[in-house]
Amino acid sequence: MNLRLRLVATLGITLILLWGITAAWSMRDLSTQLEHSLDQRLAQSARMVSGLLDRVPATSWNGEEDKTSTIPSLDGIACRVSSLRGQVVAGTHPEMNDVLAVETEGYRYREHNGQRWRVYTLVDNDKRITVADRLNEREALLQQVRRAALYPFLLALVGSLIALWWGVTRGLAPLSRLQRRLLSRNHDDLSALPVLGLPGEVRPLIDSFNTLLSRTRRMLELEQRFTDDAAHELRTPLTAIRTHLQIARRVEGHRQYEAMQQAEAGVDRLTKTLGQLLLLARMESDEITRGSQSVLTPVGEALATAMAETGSHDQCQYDQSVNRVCVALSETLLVTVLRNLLENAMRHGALGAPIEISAQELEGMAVIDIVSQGKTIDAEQLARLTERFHRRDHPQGSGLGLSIVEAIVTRAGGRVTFASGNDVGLKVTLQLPSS
Amino acid sequence: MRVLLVEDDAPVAAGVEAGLALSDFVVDTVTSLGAAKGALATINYDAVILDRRLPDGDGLSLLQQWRREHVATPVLMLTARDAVASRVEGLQGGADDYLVKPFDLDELTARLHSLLRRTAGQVDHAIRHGSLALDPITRSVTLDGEPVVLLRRELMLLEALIRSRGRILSADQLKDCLYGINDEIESNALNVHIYQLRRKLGRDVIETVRGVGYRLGKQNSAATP
Repeated sequence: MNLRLRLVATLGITLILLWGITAAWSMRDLSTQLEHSLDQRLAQSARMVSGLLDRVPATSWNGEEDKTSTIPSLDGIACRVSSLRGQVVAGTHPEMNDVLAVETEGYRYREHNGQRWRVYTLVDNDKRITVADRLNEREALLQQVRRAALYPFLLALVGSLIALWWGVTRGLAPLSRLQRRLLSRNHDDLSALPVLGLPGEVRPLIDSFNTLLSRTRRMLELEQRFTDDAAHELRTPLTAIRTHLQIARRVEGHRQYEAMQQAEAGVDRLTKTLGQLLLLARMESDEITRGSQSVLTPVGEALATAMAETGSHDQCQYDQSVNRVCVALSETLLVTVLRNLLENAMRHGALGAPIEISAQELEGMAVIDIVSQGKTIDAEQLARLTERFHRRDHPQGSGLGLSIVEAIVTRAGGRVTFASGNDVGLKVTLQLPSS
Repeated sequence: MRVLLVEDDAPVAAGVEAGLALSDFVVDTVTSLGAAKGALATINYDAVILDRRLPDGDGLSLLQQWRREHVATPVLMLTARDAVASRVEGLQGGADDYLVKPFDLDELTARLHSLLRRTAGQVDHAIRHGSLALDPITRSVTLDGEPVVLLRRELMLLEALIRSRGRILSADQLKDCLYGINDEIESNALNVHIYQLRRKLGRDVIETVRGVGYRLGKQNSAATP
């Protein structure tokens, strides 16, 4: 349910209920008060008549019996003066005997011709005075008063409902703006949402949303870069192959042979890049490292294979320590790691300079150092070494070697660190579980 | 015709260079944006083939810079990225054409020719000058509808002169059209080619403007419709 609707409904119903109860209460109070004051006026008018009659000599009504002075009747009020014996001396409405014939003092309700009357009787020393109000008049008055009191109530209620709607709408305006902004956004727009002008309650939400957006953006960028790099690395040798094959078809003799050789070199390069790429993909799917933890491979054996594969035996310097250390990684994977590191050292290190390899065991981890001489690599470049397709300025490599090393080592529960400087071109330290 | 190839991958560059040479293009190859900038400033190339991904940056940025500096040389971009967005980006950046790797050598040649034709404002491939017609794709020349056999450099020389539309070209400019940076040029080579053209197409086909250079003969241009 819409937040605004919910707020308005809850507050609105509460307001109506509160105002309603207050109004009902006031009306009831008003009726009682009004009845009370009208009763008082009735009693006062009886007393007024009694006071007036006190000035008239008693004989004037005691003497002449059976003589009633009839006062012209007024609509809605009635009055009668009678002696204590019951003789009516003066009065209005002689036909309303059933209403006005009251013995004792006090208030009461009486009915006459289907109309209700409020009757008050005052018993004086020698006379009885009864006055009556028709309830119709009283009720009409009460209605008028009620109406007069109700309008401000209604006005206040409607006013507060409008104020409520306006306040809620205004209070939620930042949210509505946010909603509109989100709806109008392109679905692949990953730019951060502006937090300026947002209420404090929503800000943490938008902040974390923005963090998520920027992380997605970074991931998409990396992915895009990887796709671009992969396309470049695969299509460039393919271009060379195709071009040289087309040339080979058109020329003859030595030039044809040359073109074919170029095309073959392109195929080799493509094959290598593809192989590395597939290895990396398999590594990331995590399958190849599974189950290899139980085997132990001596570093010396793997190193010998790697050196043979890269033809780097003459450049490598190592001692017996490599034969004492074992690594919990299948031989194939360890050879892949070492081969990539040796290739890297040969390619980027100083030409023909020795590559020093040492191994030791430290706190259950096998630590293998591979040190090659060459140009110092700055910190920024060091951080990018394991980036896929990052080739530095060497055109021959696929740029995937160190990414593969990192992938294998990390999957095996180890870690790889790079250092450069102090007469060392690149020192790669592998830490791998040894049991 | 002389083309500047900006491509950092040596096998690809060698292939394109050799392939275009088969279609009588003179190709100079550079491997970086910096070198490309220098080369285009020095030599008047008919077209540039520009790879996007180069060691010192994106080829597109160089192209944009050229277009800002009003360099109008037609540029064909090469790229490994085949996304429509990146092609549009390239064309909007000022490229005249866009080719995705791996491309067909014939397609590259055809596109280069069509670029040159568009630059010259022509409708069909044949370049005409009076009764003389040259088809740059089939590399054939006809005079009054009769085919004439020309050697490769002679044809290139004639093409340069026809394309210049009566403008005078200096000897150096003509040599630029015939030879790449690395080609050995014999001192009288140009004179030999001009002599051969005059012998095959008639004495007045090339006019010598003393101390300045050469242009196509007036007789022929008078016959131009």
